[in-house]
Amino acid sequence: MHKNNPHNQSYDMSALCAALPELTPHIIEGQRGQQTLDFSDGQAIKALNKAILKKDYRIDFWDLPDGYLCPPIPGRVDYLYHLKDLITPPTDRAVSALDIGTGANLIYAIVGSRAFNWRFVASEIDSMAVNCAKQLVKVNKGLSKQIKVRHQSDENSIFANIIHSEDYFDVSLCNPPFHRSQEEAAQGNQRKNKNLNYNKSKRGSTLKPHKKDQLNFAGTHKELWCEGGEQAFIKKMIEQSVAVKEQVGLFTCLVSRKEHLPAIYKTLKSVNATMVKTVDMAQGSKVSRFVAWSFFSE
Amino acid sequence: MDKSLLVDKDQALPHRQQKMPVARKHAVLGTNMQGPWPTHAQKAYFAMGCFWGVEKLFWQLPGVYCTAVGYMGGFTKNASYEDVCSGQTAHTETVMVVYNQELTDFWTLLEAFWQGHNPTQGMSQGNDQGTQYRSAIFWADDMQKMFGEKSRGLYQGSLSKAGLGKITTEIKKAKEFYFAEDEHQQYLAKHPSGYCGLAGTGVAF
Repeated sequence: MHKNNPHNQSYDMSALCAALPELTPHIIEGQRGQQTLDFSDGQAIKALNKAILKKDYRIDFWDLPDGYLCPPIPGRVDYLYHLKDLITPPTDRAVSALDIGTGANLIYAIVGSRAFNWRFVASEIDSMAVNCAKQLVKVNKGLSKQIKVRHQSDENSIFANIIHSEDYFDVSLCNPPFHRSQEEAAQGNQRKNKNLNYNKSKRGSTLKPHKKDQLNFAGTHKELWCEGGEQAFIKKMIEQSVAVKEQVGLFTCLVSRKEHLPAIYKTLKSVNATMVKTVDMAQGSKVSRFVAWSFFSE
Repeated sequence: MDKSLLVDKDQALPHRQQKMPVARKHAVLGTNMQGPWPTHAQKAYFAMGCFWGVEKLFWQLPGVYCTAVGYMGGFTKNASYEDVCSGQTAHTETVMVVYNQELTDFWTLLEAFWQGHNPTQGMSQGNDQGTQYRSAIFWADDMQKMFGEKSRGLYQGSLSKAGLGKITTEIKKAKEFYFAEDEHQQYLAKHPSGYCGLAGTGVAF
């Protein structure tokens, strides 16, 4: 975890339950007697997110419709802290950021605006997710001045329609869909859940495996998959970034598999990006990374 | 019978076989009453008293693609207006709102809903008495459920501050929407000086 990430310690469950009493029934005792949660239980994760957002980000109301991705907040926050290190903040205005594919959860924009006072445009192709994100902005005081949600109506476009002629973004970020099909996404979910249950049994927990419909990782919408998977998506993003190179200071995108990096570098070379950088992140045992590129000379 | 009490399933009037015929076009918006609607359309269902005025309230909102009046929340399939007025269907007069999620959102409709009527009146609304006038939000998807419930909590806070009572609005999953008779569709467009008792509490959402 980034050294400044406020979530780089284990969760303070007592404080979180105090912020959000509805988290309390989800608390279970861990192997070392500590308070913990069943991390394969979607309802528990949702309650945890609500509590974190309330306690640390002054978000009164956050929720998700069923079937939409419920993100782990600490990891998301990590990406934002690393981005903050990379950009030189403008002196005369707030940092403006573009979140590609915000989902129904709007997490990057919410956290980035509350923690850093950044301004966000958040894009999304799923119209129900857009509607949900827009309403989160309306319901929580102060967000509407900082976050604009825009619907991407063309599945093949990433920046077109979203970046308007008068826009300039210091940075763009993206957590791309990483599966190649809805089926693969569903299988990936099951695998992830199996692992969680396996780890639990290793730790001696007696919890029953969760039913499919309770999966935390159930993101059946286009948040988790696209034609060609992550690799094709990032390639498309890089190619389309050329058309808006004057309007974004730094493009970035998470890359879930490092095997994809060589192809990504090749595409970046073919479009003549002037700066390319890969930033490694470690969240617990999970290693992830994002690629950053720019067309401005340093 | 006491029209302020909801009938049980076994007390309800029998189903009608015949579906209500529906005019093709919305008399005000000119859109197709039964779809198909564009991709970004979503339906919402609101009950807030006599449906004539409620439908007008919603067809005037920007981003609303189509509206219709009908019955929901009870037992009798394909009920007629007369059936519903007897108080023996358990339906409430309901307006279907088809909105374009590109141009507006459910929260905007909720604002019109809460401010547009008095949601504390139980089995009546204004001068209209009976279960068919009870207030309800019938949600069509999880997102509507989530924001519908949130909005009730928020508006209850505002109402309580203003010294008003407890919200009696039902928030339930939408079931089949039974279209009302054509004469009731867009009634206030067809009868501009027709009856409309719809009034809010004056408390801002």
